[in-house]
Amino acid sequence: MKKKIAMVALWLAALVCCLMLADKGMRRDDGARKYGAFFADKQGFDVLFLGTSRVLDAVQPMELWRDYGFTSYNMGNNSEPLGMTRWVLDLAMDYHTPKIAVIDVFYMLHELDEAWTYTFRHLFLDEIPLGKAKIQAVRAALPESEWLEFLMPFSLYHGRWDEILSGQTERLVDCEPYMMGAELRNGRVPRDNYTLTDAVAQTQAPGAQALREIAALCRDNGVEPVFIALPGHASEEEQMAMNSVGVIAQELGVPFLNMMRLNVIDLSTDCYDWQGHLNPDGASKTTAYLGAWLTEQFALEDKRGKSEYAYWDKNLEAYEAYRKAFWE
Amino acid sequence: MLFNSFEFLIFFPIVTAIYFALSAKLQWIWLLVMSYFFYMNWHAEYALLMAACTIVTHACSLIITELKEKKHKKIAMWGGIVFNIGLLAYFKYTGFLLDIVQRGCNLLGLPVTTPKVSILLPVGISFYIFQALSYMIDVYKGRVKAERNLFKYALFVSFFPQLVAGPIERSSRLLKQVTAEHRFDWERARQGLLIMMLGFFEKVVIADRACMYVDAIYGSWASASGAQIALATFVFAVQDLCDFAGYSHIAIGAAKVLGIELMTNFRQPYFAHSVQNFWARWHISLSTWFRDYIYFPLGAGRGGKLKAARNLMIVYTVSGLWHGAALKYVAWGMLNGALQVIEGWIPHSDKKPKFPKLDLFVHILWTDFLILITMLIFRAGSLSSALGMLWRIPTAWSAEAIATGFSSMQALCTGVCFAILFAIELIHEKRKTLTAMTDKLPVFARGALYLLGVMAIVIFGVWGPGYTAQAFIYFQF
Repeated sequence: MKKKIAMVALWLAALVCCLMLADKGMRRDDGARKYGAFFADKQGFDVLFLGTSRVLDAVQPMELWRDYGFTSYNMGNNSEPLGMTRWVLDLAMDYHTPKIAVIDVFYMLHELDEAWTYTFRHLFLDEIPLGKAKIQAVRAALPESEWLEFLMPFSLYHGRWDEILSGQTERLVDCEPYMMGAELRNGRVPRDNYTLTDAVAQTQAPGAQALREIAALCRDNGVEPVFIALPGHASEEEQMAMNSVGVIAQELGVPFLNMMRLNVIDLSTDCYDWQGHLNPDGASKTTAYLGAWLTEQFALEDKRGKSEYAYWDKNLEAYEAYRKAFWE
Repeated sequence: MLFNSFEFLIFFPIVTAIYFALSAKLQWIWLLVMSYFFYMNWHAEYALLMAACTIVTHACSLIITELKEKKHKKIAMWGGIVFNIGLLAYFKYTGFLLDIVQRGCNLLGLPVTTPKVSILLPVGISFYIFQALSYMIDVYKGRVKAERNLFKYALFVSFFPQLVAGPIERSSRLLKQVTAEHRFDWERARQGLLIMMLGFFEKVVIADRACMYVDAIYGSWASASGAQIALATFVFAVQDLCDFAGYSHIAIGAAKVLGIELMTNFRQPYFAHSVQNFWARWHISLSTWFRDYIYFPLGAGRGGKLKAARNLMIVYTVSGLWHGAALKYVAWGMLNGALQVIEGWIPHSDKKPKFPKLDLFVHILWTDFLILITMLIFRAGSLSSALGMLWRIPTAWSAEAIATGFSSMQALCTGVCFAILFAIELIHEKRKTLTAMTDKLPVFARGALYLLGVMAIVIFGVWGPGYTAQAFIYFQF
């Protein structure tokens, strides 16, 4: 009897190992490329950038390191409503508590339950091990019908043998681990200049509540929140919603940097697509401005030359080589 | 609760563990409670229907036992039959009957429009009603003694592994088994789990993948080529087998783990050498039900060729109706009956063929060809679609882009799975079992083989988000 129980236990253990191996083999590698360096880092980050693809493409942590000497990570993700950003920040702070959390407010108008945005949430959530915090985040940020695939991603990815074997895997983000979460996208699509509006949305945008929660979360953890509207094309309605952030920021006592109103980029040369995402030239201009502003506002320490940050210099070399080959 | 759902993966081990921890007196009660819980996962209120069917057939059986006069017994039996067939007719055939009335009136030139009704068909109603009726008729015929305990009888009707899609068991086999004491047996559990694994492979890996291609082609058959329709029909034949035999295997395996033996429901049907032989191998529990409770009472093959043909046609027309309330099912049933009538009329030579294996092979191929035609009618959206598809096969034949909708990898996977299925069917046809074959292997090799089987199901199976767990085809009957 004991022998049989031992054999069954052994077999079950082997099954678990096989499932874990299969899980590893079938997973998309986007999440690891995008967030792997964040979870592996031992020194922590001075600044975290969170939000949509606007921030993903516009802020280059390696250029901030090169020019200003503070450490940062780009947590931005495609199509991320602010309600989800709140949970990304929450889970991220289980690993690293930054001095500043810069929150992109471009998706003020988007609800948390817009189904088309769910796919991208896998990138971050799949990297978080199953535990109480992840369960809480998934339950809060996703409808019940999606819980299984986020809590047990293998249920979604087990069918990827088809694309893996045929070599037809597609990347969701164009980033490498040394880019600290940011991506570089190649292209130059001239966009017309948009008409700026000063109007402020009268009704409360879906992202407003999330901004309040984010501010509270930051304060509870000793993090300085910053709201930011990054440059790029925006409709009148989107601008009105972003303008309303000024009111919320004032109410919460949070700095709000509206770069829509600053002529930092040139829309005719600095976008890689018609939606107004920034190409490497646009990203460098935005990053430079943002670096200077953050350094001035928050007196961030220059860590360049410190031995414990030597790996940032190595990453910078890799980043510059990549950017050169990719863009210049 | 579907067998291919997460709920069942949690439900079954818990039910089994508690079942074997309980005393004999409580074991069957636990099974009864869990069987109703299993059923009520769909529409809880429909459990009342099953309970009504149970109470009425149980009461009728007791009345039959108590009554002395055969005439009175017969009235009690017919009372039970009318009630149950009435239930089935209301839930399954109301819409169909109203449609037939309207069509008939319109044909006669009467502008009648019957109301459109939409009644949700309770899952498995055709299965448990037939099982309950078989018990009541067996009591009437004196084949079995009436079970006095209503709850024990209720377990016979509702036993969860075979509740919603069979096998349709006879009380002489199942009633005593489900209420008897069972202790855990390692070897029996291993065999049961292996049968379940085969069932999951058939359902999740083969049937549900094949379903994607079949649905794509049958869903737009008017623009599909003849070759695509032919291939989709072949794929559907495999899908239908794997879907239904898969369910049966999971049911048989699950019952075996609990110590209960269910009847074999499929015996390599596509190795049949005639249509009659096909029906002796396909859905055996239903075929034998029709044989015992309709065909034999009608007189079977006695009374000359015409009478035998009439009886066969009645049985297969009813079988068609049992499968679904639509003209295509009636046509499908009648075609199966007609093919068997014709087979019976063809004179057989007593001379042994010169090449018996070749002769058998030709017969199998011919039978499968005929069965494929019936399958096309079964799967088509309607009878007129079926006729249109049959017409397109020779008239719009083109082998270009035959595997539309499948990537090359998926097509390869499907092909390999079909080959594995063929090998398994061949092994079974040679009267061998996979369990017996693997028993010869050293224990670690056996363990590795089982592991490989589970991983193949997990990786190549169609399950999880992105796919809706496909209900078993026979749930709708």
